[in-house]
Amino acid sequence: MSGINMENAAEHVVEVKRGSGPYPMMLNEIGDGAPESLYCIGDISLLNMRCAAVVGARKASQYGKWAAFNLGRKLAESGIVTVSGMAYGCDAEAHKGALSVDGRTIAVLGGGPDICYPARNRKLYNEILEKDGLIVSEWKPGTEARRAYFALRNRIISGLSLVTCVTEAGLSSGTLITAEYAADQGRTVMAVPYNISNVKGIGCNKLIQDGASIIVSFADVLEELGVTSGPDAADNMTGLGHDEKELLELIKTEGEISLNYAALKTGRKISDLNSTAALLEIKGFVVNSMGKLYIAK
Amino acid sequence: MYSKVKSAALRGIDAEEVLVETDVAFGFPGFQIVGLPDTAIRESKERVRTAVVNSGFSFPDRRVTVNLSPAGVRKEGTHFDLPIALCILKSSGLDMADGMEDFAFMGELALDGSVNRISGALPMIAGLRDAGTRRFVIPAGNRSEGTMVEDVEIYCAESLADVVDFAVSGRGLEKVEFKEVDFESQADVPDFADVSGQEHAKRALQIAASAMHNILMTGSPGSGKSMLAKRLPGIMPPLTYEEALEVTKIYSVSGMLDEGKPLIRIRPFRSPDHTVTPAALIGGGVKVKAGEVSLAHTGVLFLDEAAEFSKQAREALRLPMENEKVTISRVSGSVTMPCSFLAVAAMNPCPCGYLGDPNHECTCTVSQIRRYERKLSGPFLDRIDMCVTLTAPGYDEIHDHKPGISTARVKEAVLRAREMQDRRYRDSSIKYNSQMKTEQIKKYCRLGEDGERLLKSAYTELNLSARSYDRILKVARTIADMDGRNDIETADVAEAVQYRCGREIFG
Repeated sequence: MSGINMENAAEHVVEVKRGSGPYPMMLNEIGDGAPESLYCIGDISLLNMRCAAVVGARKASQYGKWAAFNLGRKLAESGIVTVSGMAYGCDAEAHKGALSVDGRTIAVLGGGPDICYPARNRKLYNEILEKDGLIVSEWKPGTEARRAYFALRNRIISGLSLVTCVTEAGLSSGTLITAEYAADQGRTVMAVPYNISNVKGIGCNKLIQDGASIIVSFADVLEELGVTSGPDAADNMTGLGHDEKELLELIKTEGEISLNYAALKTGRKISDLNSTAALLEIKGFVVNSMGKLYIAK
Repeated sequence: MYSKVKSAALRGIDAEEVLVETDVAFGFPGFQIVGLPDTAIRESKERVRTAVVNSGFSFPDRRVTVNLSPAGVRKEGTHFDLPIALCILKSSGLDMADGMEDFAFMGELALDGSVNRISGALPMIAGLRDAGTRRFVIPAGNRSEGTMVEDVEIYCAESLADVVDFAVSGRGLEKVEFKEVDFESQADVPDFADVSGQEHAKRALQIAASAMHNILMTGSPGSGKSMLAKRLPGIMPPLTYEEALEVTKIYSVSGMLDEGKPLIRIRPFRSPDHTVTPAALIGGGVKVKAGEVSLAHTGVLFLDEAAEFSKQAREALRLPMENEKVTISRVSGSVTMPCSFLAVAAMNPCPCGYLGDPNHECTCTVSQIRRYERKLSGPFLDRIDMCVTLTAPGYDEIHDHKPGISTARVKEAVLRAREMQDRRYRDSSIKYNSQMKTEQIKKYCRLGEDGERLLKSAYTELNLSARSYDRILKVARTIADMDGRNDIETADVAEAVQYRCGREIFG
């Protein structure tokens, strides 16, 4: 418990100058692009720990968010610091994933570190500080976030990290800027593959086509970072009934399904499927988003 | 000489008796109508004078005074032409047959003396019947409305001359027979089977129709929201005679009936455009007209593009949805009309419509989407019991040519649920599960231990609000009713959870 939250954040800002001891070595290496000062709130020792960036679209699909969350969680479980931008969608999910197992995470903001942007993520902002994470910005406290700053802060996200993972990116996504920075800085870029029919993932697939490493399983990222993943918890399907298992298996095979599709595939009545889906949702196995069911864990 | 003839005046969809009195006296020739007539009635002087002359009678060259009694109530409409003309002729010496004083007359006169169709014939006949009048003369153009009222004797008139003959001899006008209406056949309502797939949404609409649960459908353009909504009236139980009469009255006073469609036989489906004004929605105008909410009475009010309706329009819907009647107050008095309808709102997931669609890229910004979502929040959403998201059908679903479940099949469960509700609420002031208040929910929505546990974990795991908790119970009650069961099973609760409101579209 750091005792720092949004209300008193401004009093806890620490300036870390380039050339001083706490200044992140990784960021220093990127050369001219590195900011002269970093304004930090939280535990600045995180700056020199082993970091991986997890970034993705703001208006993300459930799949992109799922990947970001689980990647954040897996990294945290292996003691890696997750770096992201605290934006809506994938970024927020990456932080949340790390925090879900009480991991450490760094949020790089596009405005002063004491200003929570976007404001709706204040709960997340507070939780990051509460769990000994770190909020970083190259902008002085009190600076309002601006559109142009967001593209710039992406170089810090990739600069702090050994590996930059993209969980979702459309064709003209801002996320691709981060990937570009990472490549320029000589860091590894990894991307989550998408169906070729899915417009939301074209950016990711393009990255892979252009030479980014493909994330076939989350262990690939850990391997790249030189850590071995702990044993994967076996699928815990105990306590599920036959109908629940059947639906869950179907969702796992298809990735995402609508209930109509489930009715078509299983031949079960829609009313039964409705209750089964609700039970799975309550038990935390699936998420229902925009009329479709996705795996939650 | 003094004489009087019975007629009627409309108040909203109700009617009251009006006595047309005339006196033809010596003095300077003139024609006065008193008793708070509106402009249309004032102008009837010219129509009546010309029609009387063109029908071959003479208009008295004397001082003619007409009073519409009770004189203190404002009166509207052209249907006073016929009784005024008849009364004037009576005053100038026409000898009417016995029993004519029991008749109520209504009709608009053309200059050549023929009798034109009027609006509001049905509510006037029904209203006067309830007040004790049994015999009527109405325009031939309103014949079909005349066939709908039981226990009355109705004659149709083509012209003033015919009416005068009838008044003198008691013969010569065509009598209208009461006809039982077939409410069962609903051939003109589109069938559910036309929509393939979307079983999830169909099930939701079936539940909604079973207990009048207001519902919100979200989905990309072309996912079938309007197509499904249009098929809703077909799965609702057929109108009862009383309901049909009430709805037809509303359409009658609004002048929306014609010979081709004399009776509202099928539950109405109203789909006001999103540019609709609050007045058009709830009713109003100098001459009070029924609004969309009343025109949708007993049927479906479909609000397509619900987020695009003006704030005022959405606010205006609040009270009618709560009270199931609207009171419109104007200078001429206030009028109350019934408006008990099933509200079906539809909206896109975002302003451009393609959020979450795998085949199109959504072009909206995050804040645009948030703003769009917020538009529907608040009091309006509080009246919505169920939410369902329609997804664009995938490859397999499009290429599955199995015809959808038909209207007749869907309807079975709806009728079963209505029967259960009728029995349950026989001695209570409500009719549907959706109308339950807290104490009724406590009484009728008891859950078993498992159901209780499930709802509790749903409450914590899925971040439900207290309000959505109640709604889930009501919907679960309906799902059990559709199966004809008195006990609410755990599966019913789980299914109801699936249709809960208040998940954020964009998380």
